[in-house]
Amino acid sequence: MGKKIISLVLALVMCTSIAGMLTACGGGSEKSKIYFYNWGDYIGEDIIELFEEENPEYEVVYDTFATNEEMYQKIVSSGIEYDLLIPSDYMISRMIKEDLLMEIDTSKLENYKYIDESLTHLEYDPDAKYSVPYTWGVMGIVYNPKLVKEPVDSWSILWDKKYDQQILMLDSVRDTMGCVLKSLGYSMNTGDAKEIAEARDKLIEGKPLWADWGVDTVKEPIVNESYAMLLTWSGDAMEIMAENEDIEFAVPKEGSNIFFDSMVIPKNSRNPEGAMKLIDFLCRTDIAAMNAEYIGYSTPQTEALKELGDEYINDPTYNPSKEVIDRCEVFYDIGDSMDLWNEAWERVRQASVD
Amino acid sequence: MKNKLNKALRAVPLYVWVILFTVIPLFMIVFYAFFKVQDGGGYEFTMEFIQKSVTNGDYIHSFLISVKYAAVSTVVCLIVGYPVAYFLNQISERIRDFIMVLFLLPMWMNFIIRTYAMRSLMEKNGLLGFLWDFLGIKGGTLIGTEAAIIIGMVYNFLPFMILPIYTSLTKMDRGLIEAAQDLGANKIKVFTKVLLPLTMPGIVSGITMVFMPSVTTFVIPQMLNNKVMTIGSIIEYKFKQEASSTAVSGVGAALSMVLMIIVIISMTFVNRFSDAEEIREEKEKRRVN
Amino acid sequence: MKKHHPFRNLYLGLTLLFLYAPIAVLIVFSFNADANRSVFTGFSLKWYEKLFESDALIQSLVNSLIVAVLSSIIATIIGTYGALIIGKMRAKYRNMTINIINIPMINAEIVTGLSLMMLFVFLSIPLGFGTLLIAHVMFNVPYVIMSVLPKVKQLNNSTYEAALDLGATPGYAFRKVVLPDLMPGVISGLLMSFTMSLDDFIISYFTTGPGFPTLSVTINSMTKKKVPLSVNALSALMFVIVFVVLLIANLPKKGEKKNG
Repeated sequence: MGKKIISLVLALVMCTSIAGMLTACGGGSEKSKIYFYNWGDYIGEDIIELFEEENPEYEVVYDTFATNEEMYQKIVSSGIEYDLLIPSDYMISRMIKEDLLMEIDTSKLENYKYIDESLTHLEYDPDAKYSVPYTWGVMGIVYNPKLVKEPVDSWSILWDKKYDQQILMLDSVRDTMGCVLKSLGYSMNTGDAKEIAEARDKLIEGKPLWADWGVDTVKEPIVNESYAMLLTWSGDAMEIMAENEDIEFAVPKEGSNIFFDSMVIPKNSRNPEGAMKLIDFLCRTDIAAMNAEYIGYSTPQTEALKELGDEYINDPTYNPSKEVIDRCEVFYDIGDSMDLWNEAWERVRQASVD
Repeated sequence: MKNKLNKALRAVPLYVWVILFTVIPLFMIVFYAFFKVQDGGGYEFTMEFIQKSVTNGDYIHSFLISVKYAAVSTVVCLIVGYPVAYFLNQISERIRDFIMVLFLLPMWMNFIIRTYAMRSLMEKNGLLGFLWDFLGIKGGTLIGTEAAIIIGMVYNFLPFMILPIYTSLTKMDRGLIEAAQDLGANKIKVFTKVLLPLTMPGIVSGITMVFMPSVTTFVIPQMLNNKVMTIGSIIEYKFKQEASSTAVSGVGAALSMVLMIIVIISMTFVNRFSDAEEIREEKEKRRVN
Repeated sequence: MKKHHPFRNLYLGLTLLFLYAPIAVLIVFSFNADANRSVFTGFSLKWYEKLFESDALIQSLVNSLIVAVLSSIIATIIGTYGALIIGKMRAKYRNMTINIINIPMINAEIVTGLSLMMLFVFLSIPLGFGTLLIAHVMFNVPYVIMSVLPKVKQLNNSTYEAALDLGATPGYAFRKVVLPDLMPGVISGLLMSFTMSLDDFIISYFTTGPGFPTLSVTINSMTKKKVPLSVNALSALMFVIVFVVLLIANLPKKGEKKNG
């Protein structure tokens, strides 16, 4: 009896598997392969297909990761030779320091001229030699005006006792600690033990007020109005606001973080020409616009932004003003000082609330 | 003599497998727990990591709560799961296996998605909130409570308790119970003297399969109550955040080693229950021969 | 047979309800008009449309199924073999061996994943389908051993020996006498490894290579945005298909019973 069930289920599964394998292996393998390693769900659905159609000599092998650190670990210890990666700012600066990246000759990129110049040459890649911005955004607080009656313009509202168990906290060492440091008036790239300790104590002080911590799990409760506030990235705020029009986003006056996910080519890439071709393709106006619309994070491609229309251009969350950007700081690699951050963060996360 | 040699030979493939894929990875953890990568590239012996992992108050606290959550979940799984296995065994053979598979089927749905569903059940403005409204109770959310973690673990690991107990019940001679009853044993006696000893191997397997993964899980606490950090979360964090070019965190390795020792000791303790019985049987057999 | 067992059925029913409540939620919300997982705003099939447009999801489901089927079968063979050997050991050696074999179950998955990856890299086996399969077999074997071992302990050695005395070859005696007794354990081991394999994320992440993501890897890497409800749609479809197959597999038996 049991055997029968199992064999039937297995037979079914086998059939689907084999069918899948056949369709998967349909294409020829003469093509030059581009190994592309990106965040999950972070590229428009048809973009890769379009690229392969226009450039039949290339085949893109696509692979996804969940965090910068996971990606880094795999790059360093797996021996897989990827051709194109999209890490975040501080990780790029670390990889530059460790000599893991190849220089990109931007003069060979036809569409590089559309990339907003004010968004390149930042501290994580000062000469813009290694990276081409893919998406960017700022950090801030998303809040529900129905539950928060006062104006949100300062980080201090996250420590307001009025909102006990109404606040959700972002669980990300660099981002969360960075914003707290900023609220204290320090740099987000500090290596000063005293400043870090101060940020740590401030977080421990606020911990009893915060209902939960998370990255992926905390967005929906805000949409559903279960909680009043969340510290998050503008890209995520866009997603939340698309689902609930009442929600708003604010970048506190003390300053915040401006972040980038940029395209880089690893030093051990076997197909840098292919990678360059793909980068150029992703910077092309029609493609960049299509991609930006799907991803929902701000695009650094100026023409693509125009193509997206006024709705995007005038949205202060999607396209923060110069004045907001000026009070934001970018993350870069701080080397061994990160140990202090990690230690402080662990203390915060493990501090018991009761 | 030849027979003995044969027996030993037959065990060889098993040991090759175990050494290659269990002992070597294990050895790597032990290695990284005791050796630090030097800047030049060599390795240096150190007790620093081990010392850190057993003296840090936060880590000790995490070990304790993780063992607590796992133990509570295991006990709940046993109390809920044993009757399920027992009743399953009583159902007519015609649909028994079908029902058994029903208990396993939810686990074929993706874990993350399932836990998301669990979360939306517990959310304040989700279905739980809906239920509160319906009942006219002013109830809160389960998210961020210890109960959320326990429910999540029981939900996820219950089938691992039911299955082995059910398996060990299926081959049990039902006549034994009837015989005991005929001899005048009451229900409690039948349970403690007949049922329990005979299903002990299944219970031990069940406890092992629930307790072990519960101690180290990090996805369930992270998704349902991320205010606390279980030891699984800490190890995860250590390995992820401290990604150095060697990719292995010394403290992370040391913590996993300590965790492993704790779990092995507790499992050996659990195994005693079933083994005491078997060692006695073994001795008796030898005496008879 | 026709006796009623209200308490028994109620108890089993309630436990199933507990296990299926989240599955029901998951399926209901796959029809949601919005991207929301806990507030239902209206009926729509758009997530199913999205699912069929998403090659990434379907391809990774296929990958997951291939690995789960193959690894659970291989692990069941290895695990049953292992359980037979361990079951014959003296109690004290047996305990030690079991404890070592169980280590992959206790180890934090990231530790197992990383150390296996390093092992493969060291042996210069390129990461991909092969390494993923080995890794899955590796962590499945303990589950098979755990479920077959209780059966091995209950085995009656004398019937096997009697079969041999009657002239059966060891292989024949094993198939006809030992295996049927082990079967419930073997099946639950197989089911369990299939389940574990389908569910695993971390170990798969570190041991797979480019172009062969499993479903969990794909879903877990979706951290930049909310996990789309098309994943729910996928799970709902999978669930319905498996459920129907189970029902069909269960039907003929009824007929047999009547005829017999």
